[in-house]
Amino acid sequence: MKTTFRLVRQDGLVVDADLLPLSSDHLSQFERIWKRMLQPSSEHDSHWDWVRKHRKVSNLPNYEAYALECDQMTEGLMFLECDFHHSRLEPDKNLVYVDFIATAPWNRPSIQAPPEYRGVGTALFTFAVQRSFELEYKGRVGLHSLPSAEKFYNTLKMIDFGSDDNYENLKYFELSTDEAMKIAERFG
Amino acid sequence: MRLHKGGLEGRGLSWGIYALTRSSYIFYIYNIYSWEEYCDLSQKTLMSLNLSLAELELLTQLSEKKEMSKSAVLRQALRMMAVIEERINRGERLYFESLDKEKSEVVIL
Repeated sequence: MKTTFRLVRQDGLVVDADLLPLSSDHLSQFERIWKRMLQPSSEHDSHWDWVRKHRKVSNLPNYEAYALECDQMTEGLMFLECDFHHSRLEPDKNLVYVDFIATAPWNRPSIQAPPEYRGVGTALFTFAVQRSFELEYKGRVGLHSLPSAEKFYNTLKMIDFGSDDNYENLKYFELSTDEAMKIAERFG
Repeated sequence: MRLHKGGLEGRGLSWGIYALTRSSYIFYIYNIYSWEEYCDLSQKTLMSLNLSLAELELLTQLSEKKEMSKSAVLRQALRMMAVIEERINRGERLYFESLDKEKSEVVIL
Protein backbone atom coordinates (compact mmCIF):
# COMPACT_ATOMS: atom_id res chain seq x y z
CA MET A 1 0.00 0.00 0.00
CA LYS A 2 1.31 3.39 -0.94
CA THR A 3 2.41 5.54 1.97
CA THR A 4 4.32 8.26 0.14
CA PHE A 5 2.29 11.00 -1.49
CA ARG A 6 3.14 14.06 -3.52
CA LEU A 7 2.30 17.57 -2.35
CA VAL A 8 2.73 20.84 -4.21
CA ARG A 9 4.69 23.37 -2.19
CA GLN A 10 3.93 27.09 -2.22
CA ASP A 11 6.81 27.71 -4.69
CA GLY A 12 5.41 25.11 -7.10
CA LEU A 13 7.90 22.39 -6.25
CA VAL A 14 6.49 18.86 -5.93
CA VAL A 15 7.65 17.23 -2.69
CA ASP A 16 7.14 13.82 -1.05
CA ALA A 17 5.10 13.41 2.12
CA ASP A 18 4.86 10.28 4.26
CA LEU A 19 1.65 8.81 5.60
CA LEU A 20 2.51 7.46 9.05
CA PRO A 21 0.71 6.00 12.05
CA LEU A 22 -0.05 8.85 14.43
CA SER A 23 2.72 9.35 16.98
CA SER A 24 3.18 11.44 20.09
CA ASP A 25 5.35 13.81 18.02
CA HIS A 26 2.43 14.51 15.69
CA LEU A 27 0.11 15.18 18.62
CA SER A 28 2.72 17.40 20.19
CA GLN A 29 2.98 19.47 17.00
CA PHE A 30 -0.81 19.76 16.97
CA GLU A 31 -0.75 21.05 20.56
CA ARG A 32 2.15 23.45 20.10
CA ILE A 33 1.65 24.73 16.55
CA TRP A 34 -1.72 23.87 14.99
CA LYS A 35 -3.81 24.90 17.98
CA ARG A 36 -2.22 28.34 18.21
CA MET A 37 -3.32 29.10 14.65
CA LEU A 38 -6.67 27.30 14.70
CA GLN A 39 -8.18 28.49 17.96
CA PRO A 40 -8.44 32.19 17.07
CA SER A 41 -9.74 31.30 13.57
CA SER A 42 -13.33 30.80 12.49
CA GLU A 43 -12.58 27.36 11.01
CA HIS A 44 -15.30 24.79 11.69
CA ASP A 45 -12.78 22.46 13.31
CA SER A 46 -11.09 25.11 15.47
CA HIS A 47 -12.45 23.41 18.60
CA TRP A 48 -11.28 19.88 17.69
CA ASP A 49 -8.89 18.45 20.22
CA TRP A 50 -6.97 15.67 18.48
CA VAL A 51 -5.15 14.67 21.67
CA ARG A 52 -8.40 14.06 23.52
CA LYS A 53 -9.97 12.34 20.52
CA HIS A 54 -6.96 10.05 20.20
CA ARG A 55 -7.03 9.17 23.89
CA LYS A 56 -10.65 8.02 23.50
CA VAL A 57 -10.03 5.65 20.61
CA SER A 58 -6.41 4.61 20.94
CA ASN A 59 -7.12 1.20 22.49
CA LEU A 60 -9.94 0.33 20.13
CA PRO A 61 -8.85 -1.94 17.26
CA ASN A 62 -11.51 -0.58 14.91
CA TYR A 63 -9.91 2.88 14.90
CA GLU A 64 -6.79 3.82 12.99
CA ALA A 65 -5.01 7.14 13.38
CA TYR A 66 -2.65 8.60 10.79
CA ALA A 67 -0.60 11.69 10.10
CA LEU A 68 0.79 13.04 6.85
CA GLU A 69 4.32 14.28 7.47
CA CYS A 70 6.48 16.43 5.24
CA ASP A 71 9.90 17.77 6.21
CA GLN A 72 9.30 16.55 9.79
CA MET A 73 6.15 18.64 10.14
CA THR A 74 2.59 17.31 10.55
CA GLU A 75 0.67 18.49 7.49
CA GLY A 76 -2.52 16.49 8.01
CA LEU A 77 -4.30 14.25 10.51
CA MET A 78 -6.94 11.55 10.06
CA PHE A 79 -8.89 8.99 12.10
CA LEU A 80 -10.55 6.06 10.34
CA GLU A 81 -13.21 3.73 11.74
CA CYS A 82 -12.84 0.46 9.90
CA ASP A 83 -15.36 -2.09 11.14
CA PHE A 84 -18.72 -0.81 12.34
CA HIS A 85 -20.02 1.49 9.62
CA HIS A 86 -22.27 0.20 6.88
CA SER A 87 -22.59 1.54 3.36
CA ARG A 88 -25.76 3.40 2.41
CA LEU A 89 -25.21 2.58 -1.25
CA GLU A 90 -24.81 -1.15 -0.53
CA PRO A 91 -26.42 -1.64 2.90
CA ASP A 92 -25.10 -5.16 3.54
CA LYS A 93 -21.52 -4.05 3.06
CA ASN A 94 -19.03 -2.30 5.27
CA LEU A 95 -16.99 0.77 4.47
CA VAL A 96 -14.14 2.79 5.88
CA TYR A 97 -15.60 5.75 7.73
CA VAL A 98 -13.47 8.90 7.92
CA ASP A 99 -14.19 9.99 11.47
CA PHE A 100 -11.94 13.05 11.47
CA ILE A 101 -9.71 14.55 8.82
CA ALA A 102 -7.90 17.88 8.80
CA THR A 103 -5.09 19.67 7.04
CA ALA A 104 -2.67 21.90 8.91
CA PRO A 105 -3.83 25.52 9.30
CA TRP A 106 -1.09 26.88 7.00
CA ASN A 107 -2.41 24.67 4.18
CA ARG A 108 -5.80 26.36 4.19
CA PRO A 109 -6.39 29.33 1.89
CA SER A 110 -8.83 30.70 4.48
CA ILE A 111 -5.92 31.10 6.95
CA GLN A 112 -2.87 31.47 4.75
CA ALA A 113 -2.87 32.56 1.12
CA PRO A 114 -1.25 31.01 -0.75
CA PRO A 115 -1.20 27.82 1.33
CA GLU A 116 2.10 26.16 2.22
CA TYR A 117 1.18 22.83 0.60
CA ARG A 118 -1.62 21.71 -1.69
CA GLY A 119 -2.82 18.10 -1.94
CA VAL A 120 -2.90 17.14 1.75
CA GLY A 121 -6.64 16.35 1.82
CA THR A 122 -6.40 14.36 -1.41
CA ALA A 123 -3.46 12.36 -0.06
CA LEU A 124 -5.24 11.50 3.19
CA PHE A 125 -8.46 10.61 1.39
CA THR A 126 -6.61 8.46 -1.15
CA PHE A 127 -5.08 6.52 1.71
CA ALA A 128 -8.56 5.92 3.19
CA VAL A 129 -9.66 4.54 -0.19
CA GLN A 130 -6.60 2.29 -0.34
CA ARG A 131 -7.30 1.08 3.18
CA SER A 132 -10.87 0.25 2.13
CA PHE A 133 -9.57 -1.87 -0.75
CA GLU A 134 -7.13 -3.58 1.59
CA LEU A 135 -9.91 -4.48 4.03
CA GLU A 136 -11.88 -5.86 1.05
CA TYR A 137 -14.52 -3.12 1.30
CA LYS A 138 -13.91 -2.42 -2.40
CA GLY A 139 -12.94 1.21 -1.91
CA ARG A 140 -16.18 2.30 -0.21
CA VAL A 141 -15.59 5.31 2.05
CA GLY A 142 -18.13 7.37 3.99
CA LEU A 143 -17.96 10.57 6.02
CA HIS A 144 -19.90 13.49 7.43
CA SER A 145 -18.54 16.70 5.99
CA LEU A 146 -18.00 20.06 7.59
CA PRO A 147 -19.74 22.71 5.44
CA SER A 148 -16.41 24.17 4.31
CA ALA A 149 -15.28 20.79 2.90
CA GLU A 150 -18.45 19.84 0.99
CA LYS A 151 -17.11 21.25 -2.28
CA PHE A 152 -13.98 19.10 -1.97
CA TYR A 153 -16.02 15.90 -1.55
CA ASN A 154 -18.23 16.87 -4.47
CA THR A 155 -15.15 17.17 -6.67
CA LEU A 156 -14.18 13.63 -5.62
CA LYS A 157 -17.59 12.52 -7.01
CA MET A 158 -18.81 11.32 -3.63
CA ILE A 159 -22.57 10.86 -3.43
CA ASP A 160 -24.29 13.51 -1.32
CA PHE A 161 -26.97 11.94 0.91
CA GLY A 162 -27.95 15.31 2.39
CA SER A 163 -28.11 16.47 6.00
CA ASP A 164 -28.03 13.84 8.71
CA ASP A 165 -30.11 14.83 11.72
CA ASN A 166 -28.34 12.17 13.77
CA TYR A 167 -25.03 13.90 13.14
CA GLU A 168 -25.40 17.62 13.85
CA ASN A 169 -27.10 18.04 10.46
CA LEU A 170 -23.81 17.58 8.66
CA LYS A 171 -24.10 16.22 5.14
CA TYR A 172 -23.26 12.54 4.67
CA PHE A 173 -21.12 11.66 1.65
CA GLU A 174 -20.21 8.24 0.33
CA LEU A 175 -17.74 7.10 -2.30
CA SER A 176 -18.87 4.27 -4.56
CA THR A 177 -16.62 1.43 -5.66
CA ASP A 178 -16.52 2.78 -9.23
CA GLU A 179 -15.31 6.21 -8.13
CA ALA A 180 -12.92 4.64 -5.62
CA MET A 181 -11.25 2.71 -8.43
CA LYS A 182 -10.78 5.93 -10.38
CA ILE A 183 -9.21 7.63 -7.34
CA ALA A 184 -6.94 4.66 -6.70
CA GLU A 185 -5.80 4.77 -10.33
CA ARG A 186 -5.34 8.54 -10.42
CA PHE A 187 -3.63 9.14 -7.09
CA GLY A 188 -2.72 5.71 -5.74
CA MET B 1 5.94 -0.87 26.01
CA ARG B 2 2.28 -1.43 25.46
CA LEU B 3 0.78 -2.17 22.08
CA HIS B 4 -1.15 0.88 21.08
CA LYS B 5 -3.52 1.09 18.14
CA GLY B 6 -2.64 4.25 16.28
CA GLY B 7 1.00 3.55 16.77
CA LEU B 8 2.06 5.74 19.67
CA GLU B 9 5.81 5.34 19.84
CA GLY B 10 5.63 2.77 17.07
CA ARG B 11 6.39 -0.51 18.81
CA GLY B 12 4.24 -3.54 18.17
CA LEU B 13 3.25 -6.81 19.73
CA SER B 14 5.43 -9.68 18.69
CA TRP B 15 5.16 -12.70 20.93
CA GLY B 16 4.30 -13.68 24.44
CA ILE B 17 4.63 -16.43 27.01
CA TYR B 18 2.48 -17.55 29.87
CA ALA B 19 4.03 -18.04 33.28
CA LEU B 20 2.23 -19.99 35.96
CA THR B 21 2.35 -18.51 39.43
CA ARG B 22 0.71 -19.95 42.57
CA SER B 23 -2.58 -18.26 41.89
CA SER B 24 -2.71 -17.15 38.29
CA TYR B 25 -1.30 -17.11 34.81
CA ILE B 26 0.70 -14.10 33.78
CA PHE B 27 1.08 -13.18 30.15
CA TYR B 28 4.31 -11.50 29.16
CA ILE B 29 4.46 -9.52 25.95
CA TYR B 30 7.70 -8.89 24.15
CA ASN B 31 8.05 -6.16 21.56
CA ILE B 32 10.21 -6.78 18.55
CA TYR B 33 8.44 -5.48 15.48
CA SER B 34 7.73 -1.87 14.66
CA TRP B 35 4.09 -0.81 14.41
CA GLU B 36 4.44 -0.61 10.62
CA GLU B 37 5.69 -4.20 10.48
CA TYR B 38 3.00 -5.31 12.90
CA CYS B 39 0.25 -3.86 10.70
CA ASP B 40 1.78 -5.00 7.42
CA LEU B 41 -0.71 -7.43 5.89
CA SER B 42 1.99 -8.83 3.61
CA GLN B 43 3.47 -10.36 6.77
CA LYS B 44 0.43 -12.52 7.42
CA THR B 45 0.71 -15.69 9.45
CA LEU B 46 -0.91 -18.80 8.05
CA MET B 47 -2.88 -20.86 10.54
CA SER B 48 -5.30 -23.73 10.30
CA LEU B 49 -8.74 -23.38 11.79
CA ASN B 50 -11.13 -26.04 13.01
CA LEU B 51 -14.76 -25.15 12.37
CA SER B 52 -17.93 -27.17 12.70
CA LEU B 53 -20.10 -27.43 9.60
CA ALA B 54 -22.51 -24.89 11.08
CA GLU B 55 -19.70 -22.44 11.76
CA LEU B 56 -18.26 -22.92 8.31
CA GLU B 57 -21.68 -22.34 6.78
CA LEU B 58 -22.06 -19.15 8.79
CA LEU B 59 -18.64 -17.96 7.65
CA THR B 60 -19.51 -18.76 4.04
CA GLN B 61 -22.80 -16.88 4.30
CA LEU B 62 -21.12 -13.79 5.74
CA SER B 63 -18.37 -13.99 3.15
CA GLU B 64 -20.91 -14.11 0.32
CA LYS B 65 -23.18 -11.45 1.79
CA LYS B 66 -20.34 -9.00 2.31
CA GLU B 67 -18.42 -10.02 -0.81
CA MET B 68 -15.29 -10.47 1.26
CA SER B 69 -12.93 -13.41 1.56
CA LYS B 70 -13.37 -15.67 4.57
CA SER B 71 -10.04 -14.43 5.92
CA ALA B 72 -11.18 -10.79 5.71
CA VAL B 73 -14.46 -11.66 7.47
CA LEU B 74 -12.58 -13.42 10.26
CA ARG B 75 -10.12 -10.53 10.64
CA GLN B 76 -12.99 -8.06 10.89
CA ALA B 77 -14.86 -10.27 13.37
CA LEU B 78 -11.76 -10.50 15.52
CA ARG B 79 -11.32 -6.73 15.62
CA MET B 80 -15.02 -6.22 16.42
CA MET B 81 -14.85 -8.73 19.25
CA ALA B 82 -11.81 -6.95 20.67
CA VAL B 83 -13.64 -3.60 20.54
CA ILE B 84 -16.61 -5.04 22.44
CA GLU B 85 -14.31 -6.61 25.03
CA GLU B 86 -12.41 -3.34 25.51
CA ARG B 87 -15.54 -1.22 25.89
CA ILE B 88 -17.17 -3.69 28.28
CA ASN B 89 -13.93 -3.65 30.30
CA ARG B 90 -14.25 0.15 30.47
CA GLY B 91 -17.61 -0.34 32.16
CA GLU B 92 -19.66 0.57 29.08
CA ARG B 93 -22.79 -1.29 27.99
CA LEU B 94 -23.79 -2.60 24.60
CA TYR B 95 -27.26 -1.85 23.26
CA PHE B 96 -29.21 -2.55 20.11
CA GLU B 97 -31.83 -0.02 19.11
CA SER B 98 -34.92 -1.00 17.11
CA LEU B 99 -36.45 1.16 14.38
CA ASP B 100 -38.92 2.34 17.04
CA LYS B 101 -35.95 3.62 19.05
CA GLU B 102 -36.48 0.89 21.63
CA LYS B 103 -33.22 -0.09 23.24
CA SER B 104 -32.31 -3.55 24.41
CA GLU B 105 -29.10 -4.28 26.20
CA VAL B 106 -26.91 -7.09 24.98
CA VAL B 107 -25.81 -8.95 28.06
CA ILE B 108 -22.25 -10.13 27.72
CA LEU B 109 -21.01 -12.62 30.25
